[in-house]
Amino acid sequence: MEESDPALVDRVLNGDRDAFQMLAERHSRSVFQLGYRMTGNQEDAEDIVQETFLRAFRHLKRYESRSSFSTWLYRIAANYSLDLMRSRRRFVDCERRDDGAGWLADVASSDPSAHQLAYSGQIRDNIEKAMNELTVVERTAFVLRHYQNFSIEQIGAALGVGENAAKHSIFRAVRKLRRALEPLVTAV
Amino acid sequence: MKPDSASAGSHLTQDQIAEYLYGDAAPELAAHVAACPECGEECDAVYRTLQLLRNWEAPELAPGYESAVWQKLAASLPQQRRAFRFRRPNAVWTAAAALAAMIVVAISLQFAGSRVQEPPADTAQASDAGQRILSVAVTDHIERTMAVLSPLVNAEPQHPARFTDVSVEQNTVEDLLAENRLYRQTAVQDKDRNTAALLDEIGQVLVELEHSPAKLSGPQAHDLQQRLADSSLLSKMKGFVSSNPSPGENGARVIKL
Ligand SMILES: [Zn+2]
Repeated sequence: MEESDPALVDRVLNGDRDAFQMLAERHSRSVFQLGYRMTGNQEDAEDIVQETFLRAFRHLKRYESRSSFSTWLYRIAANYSLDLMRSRRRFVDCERRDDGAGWLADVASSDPSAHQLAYSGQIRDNIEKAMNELTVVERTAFVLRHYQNFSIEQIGAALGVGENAAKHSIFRAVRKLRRALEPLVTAV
Repeated sequence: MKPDSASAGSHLTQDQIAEYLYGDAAPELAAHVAACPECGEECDAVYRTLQLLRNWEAPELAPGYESAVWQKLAASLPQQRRAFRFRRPNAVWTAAAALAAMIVVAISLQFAGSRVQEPPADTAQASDAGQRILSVAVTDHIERTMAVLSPLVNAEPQHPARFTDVSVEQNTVEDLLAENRLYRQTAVQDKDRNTAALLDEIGQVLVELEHSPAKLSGPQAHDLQQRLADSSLLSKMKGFVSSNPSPGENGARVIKL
């Protein structure tokens, strides 16, 4: 029978590194998934996986078993992603040209049989562009709500803001995504 | 659409639709969606958008992914767990210490005063004093936050290709945010809902600013400006400051408690 996460955490805290290997292997895919959705980039997602487990290992004493271990990990991952994206955008945004209208026009004029395509590379591209239009805070709040099922309260705690602020970041994200992806949704 | 069950004025906003779709909405909203074809259609569209996003996943990982992660990780893990360090000790602890010291002063003054003239001070009075002290500290915090935000709101509109450099503000913002969290938490504990709500709103803008790029593009700067203007946050802040003025040079207001 599989050992529970809290039991493994206890073993790590008593000096058993193998137990941490089990934790890392158990959760690495889902942390990668979160990292990818936060950044839209595999390399960054890899970096997030490594840094999340390093931080988890260092701060393991702070984990309290009243929340699930994966929720705790996701919170670490989300915080690190925020820092990462923030430092990235400082460099990228200066050179990025404002091509928002351009890609939307591309979607709108795309092949009318688009609805017959399976989940295609083009849809992926459009989603990733739409996600990139969110601020990092909106993106984090949305990813945690939509994919990780965090409660509003948990999102507020992860971002260090009140529930109201957390809620409004999600609302703004949904509004922006709805607008950006409208051509795809009506085509389906 | 039946005018009595779903009048034009009561259609759901985009925010309410998101709230409804995440299952967080009040029952009245659900009833409205069920009765109103327009809102029903809009909910469907947003729902389809969210479903489309639901299917968005990272490219598939190779089968040995987990052990590759561990091999890399094992090389960089410390042999022993280090004691953890606070990321930003200064701002939080300075604010916490200042606040704690002010409340102690206020409460002891309260006791000193009551010993002379009044029957024993009751706890309601003491917490009242604590609240007024909090508002003095918060006023100071809000004034400093306004000093950072006002120039952004009042900046001239820029050409979309230009960038507004906010890196200087961001350094201050990190400290302000740490303070803001602390004061907000204290206001919540004191059940001072108005102050907590204001600090919540301020926190939202500060977080946004903290995590925004150091150079805002024209549209980004405009977006921030617009949101600040729409929320009339600065005038709420001014309102707070004028109804809770900060102490004069001699701190007369604090002593008066
Ligand atoms: Zn309606």
